[in-house]
Amino acid sequence: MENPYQSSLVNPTASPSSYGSQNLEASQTAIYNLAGARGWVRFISVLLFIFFGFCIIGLIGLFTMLGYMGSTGGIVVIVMIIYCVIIFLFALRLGSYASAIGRISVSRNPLDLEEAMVQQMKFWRLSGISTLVMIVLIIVASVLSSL
Amino acid sequence: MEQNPYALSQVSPASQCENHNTSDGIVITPNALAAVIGTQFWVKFMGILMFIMVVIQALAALFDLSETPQDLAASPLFDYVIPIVTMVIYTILAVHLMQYGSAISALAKTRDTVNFDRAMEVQTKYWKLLGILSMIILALIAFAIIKEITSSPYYR
Repeated sequence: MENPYQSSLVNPTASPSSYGSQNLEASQTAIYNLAGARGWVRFISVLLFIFFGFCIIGLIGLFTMLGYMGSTGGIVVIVMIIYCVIIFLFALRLGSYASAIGRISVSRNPLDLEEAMVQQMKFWRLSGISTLVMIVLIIVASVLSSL
Repeated sequence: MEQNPYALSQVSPASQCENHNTSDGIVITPNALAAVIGTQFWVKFMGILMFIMVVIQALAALFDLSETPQDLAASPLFDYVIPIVTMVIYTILAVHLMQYGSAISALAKTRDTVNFDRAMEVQTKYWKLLGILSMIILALIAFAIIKEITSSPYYR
């Protein structure tokens, strides 16, 4: 007589192959290192958010003095707004990265690891692009001021 | 004798259900791997930029050395100490970034767990170093502000 309470031989859950990767996995060492980075990433993120707050206060001060700054006042305000936005995006990306790392430690879900890697990639891409733009603007400003 | 219908299953459900989490680690999805590999270019770019900044600062410091002796002693802290410390910090950060970029390059070639571990280890060291340096700089700024306030003639 068959055991009616025998567990099903059909696998009800998704197999690792459904994620598409072969056998590459993040070891305990990698997860431990990621967890170690979380605190420092969160700290830098909080610092950037605080710095963003100071930038907003400075921007408000600039708006109040706009009338005294002449024609260059508008350009300064625009540059300051762009700077504030970039700082905010940096802080947001790092905060998201830290949050994703926190979720990995609890859920150990591959999708959380994926989210963490995507967030850190977005942070570095933003860093690179904003640095490139800043370098180009400095070069253009130097050329224009020398003419 | 009939089989005991209440006997424990001979099949372990844990072994039947292939958990996406092994006992050792977490499966790295193709998107996660692509994201890590996509980081490589930007990390190396930022590392190279930091090295360039160090070189420019070194050249500026050498240019300052060619000034007249009377100007050299004007502000040794701001003319030499701070630039040298800044150069050392940028160099260390740049080295860590290049190491991270190299670890990702190795991961992109081999696609194995060891290189992923190495990449995560290096990036953790980078964030830890950046965090410690930020704390030191904040402490120095707070010290400078407090010193400025207390040395002010209006401070009671």
